[in-house]
Amino acid sequence: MSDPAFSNDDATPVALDEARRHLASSIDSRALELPLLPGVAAEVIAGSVDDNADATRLAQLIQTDQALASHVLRVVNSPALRAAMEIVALRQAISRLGMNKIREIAIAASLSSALIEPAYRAESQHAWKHALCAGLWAKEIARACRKNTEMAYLCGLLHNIGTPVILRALIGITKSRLPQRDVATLLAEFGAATGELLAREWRLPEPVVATIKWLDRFSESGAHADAVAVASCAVRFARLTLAGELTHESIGKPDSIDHLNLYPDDVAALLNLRDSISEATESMAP
Amino acid sequence: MSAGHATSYDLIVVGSGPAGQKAAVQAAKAGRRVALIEQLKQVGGACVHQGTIPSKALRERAVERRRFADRLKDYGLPWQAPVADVASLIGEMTDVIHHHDVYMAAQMKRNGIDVIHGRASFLSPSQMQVRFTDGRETQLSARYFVIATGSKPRRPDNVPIDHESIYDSDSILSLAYLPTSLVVLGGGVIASEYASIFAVLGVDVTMIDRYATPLGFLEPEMIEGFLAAFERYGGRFFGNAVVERVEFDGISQVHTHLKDGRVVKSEKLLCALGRISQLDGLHAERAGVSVNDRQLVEVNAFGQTSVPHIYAAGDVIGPPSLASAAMEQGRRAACHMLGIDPGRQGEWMPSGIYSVPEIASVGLTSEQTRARFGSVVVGIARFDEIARGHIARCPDGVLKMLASPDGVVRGIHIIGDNATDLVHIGQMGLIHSVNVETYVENVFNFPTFAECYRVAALQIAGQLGAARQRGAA
Repeated sequence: MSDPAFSNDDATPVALDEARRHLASSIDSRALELPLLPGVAAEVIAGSVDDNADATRLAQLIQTDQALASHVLRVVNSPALRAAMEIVALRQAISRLGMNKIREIAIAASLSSALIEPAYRAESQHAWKHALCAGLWAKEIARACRKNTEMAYLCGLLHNIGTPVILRALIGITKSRLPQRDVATLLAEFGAATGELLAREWRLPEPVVATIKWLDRFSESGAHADAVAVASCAVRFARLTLAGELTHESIGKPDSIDHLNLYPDDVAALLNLRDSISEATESMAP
Repeated sequence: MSAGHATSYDLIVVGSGPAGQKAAVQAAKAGRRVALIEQLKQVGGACVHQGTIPSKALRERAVERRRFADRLKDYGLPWQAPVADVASLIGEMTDVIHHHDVYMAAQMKRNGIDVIHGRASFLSPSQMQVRFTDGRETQLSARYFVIATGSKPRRPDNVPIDHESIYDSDSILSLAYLPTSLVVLGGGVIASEYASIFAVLGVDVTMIDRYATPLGFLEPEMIEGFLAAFERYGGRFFGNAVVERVEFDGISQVHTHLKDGRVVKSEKLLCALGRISQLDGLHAERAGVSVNDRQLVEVNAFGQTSVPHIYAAGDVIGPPSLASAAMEQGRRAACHMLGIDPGRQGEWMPSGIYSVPEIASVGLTSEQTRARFGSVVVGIARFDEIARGHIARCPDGVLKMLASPDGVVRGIHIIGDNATDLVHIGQMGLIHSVNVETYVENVFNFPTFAECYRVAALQIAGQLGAARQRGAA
């Protein structure tokens, strides 16, 4: 663990049980403390669902948050995206990469600042990087399936937004930091329910809510089954990408690939994007 | 492929669209062992899942919204169009498609057809390989084959389709929201349908085509009616315009550069410059099947390709590229291979364009009638001349009837509400070579749009009567 203040040795089964009871109760009673959706993210997300924002408005929006503006400029000047000349202005960045790309970077950056939990920095940063990678994969998978790419990005990016909420709650519940395996257990048990609460609180688009709720059971998500299947497939690709293990064999035969009707040829074409997505993930990560 | 499927069949049909389905069912009903291979998860092909049915659903919703807005205006009530996402506009179609799937799957099962979900490719003139999504493969053989793989959108080199800013007709319905502006490249059926639908939905639409008018194969009154309605809904048509290149400006606009120097900017672009046959991965050449320079499978009058036991039907053989025609082609191909009399080939096949307003026609055009019979007598009935047009508040329609000098009706062309249904009255008349007098002497329900037939027929009868009088004098 990166923070020596919290030691794995402090954890006990009692702490895990206590955390489980507390989380279950908090979720049932809607008492979980939910972070506010950053204003910039809210506006930018709205902009990607209802495209009324023009480039100038997007630039103005990002400029209202100095840290965000700096981050966007850092990303657009990163090795993965760098142009022939340095980009020094947001309008120039939008001109270089397009509104959709800048919107993606801005959403990711503004949310990460709200969702990174300092006490579990390593876990939350990893979760966020995983989310970014899933968002980028979701977009390409959607393109291959002729599904909407913008919504796919949001579904992939936000599929695990319950994670930081739970990490934050754990700080208040347990006096000591839980071991990673226990954190993973709790995230598996409560991540979707917590994420769904947060998504509804933030009034995120319905396909995003469905993705959070039904990621592992996309066939039960009704009208949003395709969007959830894209995200589910993307999450698998992202996990393998970050582990450096993404190959045709490691992907296996998940139901999501079958649902999306992706044949081995289609998957092979997607795998050609592996390096560019890895680079983009690294450049956009906080 | 699930366990229990055979590896040898009397007939293998590749593609489960209208042509493939009918071929498979016809052969199965004749007691043959049939496999239907479909690369999509559901049967029905692009007709059900990407084009025909979903776009018609969008059209219906668009027209409903427009009428609702018009009614509110009539009552002096303000109406602000809600932000509409395309998915919700076609959402109801999920149920329609599902029911269609269930119906078709049951039909296949009832007829003992093995539906195999996979991608097929020829290994030889009598063998196919099928690949599945999980990577497995199997080999099948058959005595006969029907290639019914349909079509896919044409992708011109100068239009970089990315399905994000620049769409084709298979991806346009993946839009999550209605764009503020849309350029539609093309002036054919698909381009005209989508252009008019999006215009009705309030999108600022510009149609660009190299020909002087859209739908140039139609009668002039149909084209005028289409353009008048399109412009009334805010659309623009740029004719005689050649597209030099299309590019996304990297910010938020698609730039369409025309050869005359004009640049048309839009938020999204739909490239609807035709469809080409879908033969990817089929390896028809391994079976010896000839494909012409337009990448269409060549067939004779019976649907046989250059390899006699391999047939083709539907969009893969080219025009008319109608679902209705494809069904008949598939059925007739199966009949021919099995030695079954398919019945007389119907000469008069109607066509329908689901634009706003609808357009339909059957039979000859004015030019064709003139060429065949020396001259043409025209009767035109406008919807605003009949009670139903006003009752239904759709007075903009036109029915154009064409007759040869002997009074026999040769063609019917309609634009307006219910045109695609209304045209079948004319089709029956053509099949039976009826004279205009038939429409005059028989009673139609009142008030109906069908009255237009009588109005048009009366006009023709009047002209013919006057001509006879002049001749007698």
